[in-house]
Amino acid sequence: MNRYEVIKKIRTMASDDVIVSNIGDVSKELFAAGDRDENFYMLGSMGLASSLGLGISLASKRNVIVLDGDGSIAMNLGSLVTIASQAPPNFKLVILDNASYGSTGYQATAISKVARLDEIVKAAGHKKVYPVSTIDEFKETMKKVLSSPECSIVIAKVAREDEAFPIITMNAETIKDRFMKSISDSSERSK
Amino acid sequence: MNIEDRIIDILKRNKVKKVITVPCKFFAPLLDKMESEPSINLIWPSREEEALGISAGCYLGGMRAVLLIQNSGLGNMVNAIKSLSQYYNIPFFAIVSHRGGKEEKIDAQKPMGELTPRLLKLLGIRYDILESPEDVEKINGSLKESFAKKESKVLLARNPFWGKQR
Repeated sequence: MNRYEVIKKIRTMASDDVIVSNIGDVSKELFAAGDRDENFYMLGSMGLASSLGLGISLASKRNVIVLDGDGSIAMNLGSLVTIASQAPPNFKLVILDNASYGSTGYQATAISKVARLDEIVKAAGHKKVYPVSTIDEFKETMKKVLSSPECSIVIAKVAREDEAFPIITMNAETIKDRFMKSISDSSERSK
Repeated sequence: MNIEDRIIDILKRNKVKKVITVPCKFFAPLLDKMESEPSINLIWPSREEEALGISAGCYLGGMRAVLLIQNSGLGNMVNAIKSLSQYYNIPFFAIVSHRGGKEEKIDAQKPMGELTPRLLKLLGIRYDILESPEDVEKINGSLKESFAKKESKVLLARNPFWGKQR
């Protein structure tokens, strides 16, 4: 399964749902798949997409889809534990697992060598964990995940390839301002 | 009211819904009280960089969050302060236990304790000092100002702020 194909699918399926994308190729591919105000592109701070997404999901009623990589999840494994401890029903993490640091030249990640990512996610306390390896499987899984109020983690096994899209040059404050404006109609969820 | 109750009262009056913490023994009694405070949701990230990410997410979603950490954790946050918080102009508010002072019993706290004010200056973050229990009202003023001006602020809390030597 090709990552850009997966990202295009998510972009098509996200209606009111916000999307937070990890630094590097993932953000570039989301931008190319269809820019919109509800996309938050991480242009720095590798590893923090899932943390940022957790914060948004705690503050907003919207579904929050976080597009992360296996390398960036490895950089912030503790985040999996924190997310499980809060388990917001609108939090949906998609780990695009290409077993490498794609944006820096496809060096193999340590997590791809001997670790079992799905077992790590489950052991962190997550109940809804979906490893998928074909685009049809991915589509069906996302349909279920986006329509059920449960904190969910999808691990999508993707190929080591990218579409070489250009760097996002949009101003960071613009990304933030239009994102905040687009979700400001959703009021605080009472917890 | 004791210092813990006064802080919780200030947070509630300022509509702070989330407190994101990596603990310090100096504010352990405050955390205990917060655990049973229904209007505040305590979040326990694994480290402070993660805490800053969560805080930034809350801000994007329009919810007020406060970080409650030790000064050593500011070191863990440096890249996120520059490339997330300041790059996107997403402010944060932190009450930071400033360890490593004259009374510090743990020697290893001292190097980061000495660096902390200079680090904040270098990062371009406004900070203030809480050093006696009367300074608790500074939290109220700083919170109001930080949220109104959308500006990051750090409050460095040093003993005897917490009321008794801990």
